[in-house]
Amino acid sequence: MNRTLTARRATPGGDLTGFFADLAAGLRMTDLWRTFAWDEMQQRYRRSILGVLWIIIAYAIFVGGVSIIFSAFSRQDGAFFLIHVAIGYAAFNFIVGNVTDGCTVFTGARVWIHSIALPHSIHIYRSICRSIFIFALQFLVAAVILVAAGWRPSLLNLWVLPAIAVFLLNAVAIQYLMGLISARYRDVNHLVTSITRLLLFITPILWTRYDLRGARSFLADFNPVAHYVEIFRAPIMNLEPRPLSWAVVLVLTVLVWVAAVIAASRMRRRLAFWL
Amino acid sequence: MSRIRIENLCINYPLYGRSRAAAGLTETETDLDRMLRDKKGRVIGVRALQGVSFEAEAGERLALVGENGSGKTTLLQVLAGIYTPDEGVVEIEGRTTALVNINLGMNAEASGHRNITLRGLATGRTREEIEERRAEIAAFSELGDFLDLPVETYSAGMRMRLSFAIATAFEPDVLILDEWLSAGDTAFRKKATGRMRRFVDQAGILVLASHSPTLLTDTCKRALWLDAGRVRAEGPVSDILKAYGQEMERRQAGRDERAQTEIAAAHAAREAARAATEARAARRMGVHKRSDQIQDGEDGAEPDPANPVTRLITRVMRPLMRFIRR
Repeated sequence: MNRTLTARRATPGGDLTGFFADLAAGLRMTDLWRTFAWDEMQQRYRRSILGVLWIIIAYAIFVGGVSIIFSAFSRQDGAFFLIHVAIGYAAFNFIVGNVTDGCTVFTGARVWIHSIALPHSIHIYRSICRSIFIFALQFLVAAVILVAAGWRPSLLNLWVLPAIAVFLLNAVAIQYLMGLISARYRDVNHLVTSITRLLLFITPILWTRYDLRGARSFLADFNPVAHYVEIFRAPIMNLEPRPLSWAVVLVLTVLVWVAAVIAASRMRRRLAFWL
Repeated sequence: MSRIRIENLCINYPLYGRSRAAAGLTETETDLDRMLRDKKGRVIGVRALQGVSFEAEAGERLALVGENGSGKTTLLQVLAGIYTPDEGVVEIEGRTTALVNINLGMNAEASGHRNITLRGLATGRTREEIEERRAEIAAFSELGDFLDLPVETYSAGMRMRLSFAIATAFEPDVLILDEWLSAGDTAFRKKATGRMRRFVDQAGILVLASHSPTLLTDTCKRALWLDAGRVRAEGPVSDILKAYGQEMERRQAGRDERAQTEIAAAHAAREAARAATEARAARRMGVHKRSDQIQDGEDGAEPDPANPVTRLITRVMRPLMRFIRR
C-alpha cells in the first residue's frame, strides 16, 4: 500500500524476518500512527469540557486520596509515601497498561486490518503512542509533587533513561505478543483483566517494600511488575536501583521479545482471519 | 508497470468455534466440497478459494462474477494483501488500493476531511500530496460542507462517494473494487465509470466484482467467473456474463424446486410432531381424568384410537391445545 510495498509477493508459510520487516515498515509511517493516536485521544475526551485534563485530574485524585489513607499503614514518612505512590502508579499503569492495551490492539483495529494492508505494527505504535501520552501526563503530576516536596536532582536520576528505553522496548514486544494471542484466543483478554486487578495490590505502590519483613519480602520479589516499577522509581527518588530488579527486567525483556518473535512468525499472517 | 499474477491460490477460512454445526446436516455437493471438517465432522473452516490462477497485465479491466459466497470478496482481499495464501503464489506489482467493504477503512467518528488525511497517509502519501488532492476529492465526492461532519453521519451512498473519490484521487496502479460501487445513484455511477476508464487508460489494472451486468460490461473487457471458490471460466466479459446468467437461471430453477420439497417436508414433519404432542397431551388428560378407564400396566402406552373415550378426549383436546398454543 505504501511506497515500500509497491511490489508484493505472498506465499504461504511462517517467516521470521517478516516480523522485523513489519516493525520497520510501521516505524517509517510515523505520520500515520501519530495521526491515529491523536484522533483516538481526541475522540475519547470529545464533548467533555476539560478533555485531556481529566487524565491529570483523575491521577491527582487517586494519588492524593490513596496517600492520605494508606500512608497510615506505612512506616515511611508522608512525603516519601506520596512520591512513592505518584511515581510508582504511573510506571505501573504504563507497564500493565501495555499488557491490557495489547489485548485489544488488533481486535480494536479490525476495521483497518480488514480494509488496508498496512504493517500490523502501525496499530502497536498507535497504542504505545497513546500510553506514552498518558504516562507523560501522569508523570507531570508526580513531578509537581516531587518539586513541592523539595526534591533535589542527583546523578542517580540518570538511571531513569535506560529504564524508559527498556519500558519502550518491552511495550512493543508485549503489545505485539498480547495482540496476536488475544486475537486468536479471546479468553486471554478476560484473564488479563482479572490479573491486573490483583497486580495493583501485590505491587509495592500502596505499600513499600521496606515495610515488608521476612517471607513476605521474599515473595513480593516474584512479582515481575514490581521490578519494572522499581527500576523507574528508585532513581527518581534518589535511591540506588536494585541490581536484582534490573536483572529481572532485562531477562524478562529478552524472554518477551523471544516470545513475540515466535508468536509473530507463526501467527502474524493469520491475523486477518481471526478478527 | 503494474501486473497481477495469481497461481494456484488456496484460502481456507478458519472458523475457530464460530460454528458448532455437526455432521449430518443436509448439504449439497458443493457444500460438502467446501467445508473443512475435523474428525468428529464439525465444520472448522471453509475452503474459500481453491486453486485459483489468473494473470492481469497493465491496462486490463477484469470483471469478477459469481454467486454469493463464491469467493469474490475473499479473492479481492487477497489481492489487497489482507489475507495471505494458504497455498500458491500471489504477485502484485504496483501500488494497490482496495475498496472491499464500504464500512471499512474509515474512522467513523472523524470528519470526512480527517479521513481523507488518514487514507492518504495509509496509502503512503505525504501531507503535501494529500493537500494537493484535497480539493479534487471534495469536488468529486460532491460532499461539500458534509466533509466537516463525522463520517458516521453519512449515508451509505455518501460514504461510498468519499471512499471512491479518495481511492482514485491518489492514482493507484492496481484498483480493486467490490460490489458496493453499484450503491451509488445513476449520475454518480456514470461519473465513477468514466473515472475508472481514465484510470485504466493510464495503464493501471482494475479488478471489479459486481452483480450488475451493465456496470461490468460498461467497465470491463475480460471476466473471471468464480464458482464455489474455483475459477469456472475466463474470457470476454459478454460471453462470460451470458454463460453465467444461463447457469444461474438453471440453478435457481433447481433451487426453487428443492426449496419447495424441503418446505413441504418441513411442513409434514411439523404436522407429525404436532399430532404426536397432541396425542401425548390427550393421553395425559385421559390418565388424569379417567384413570378408572385405563387398565393397570397400560400407563404410557399409546392411546387406542378405537377407544371411544380416547376419541372423545382427542376431539375436545385438539382445539383446546391449538388455542393454548396460540
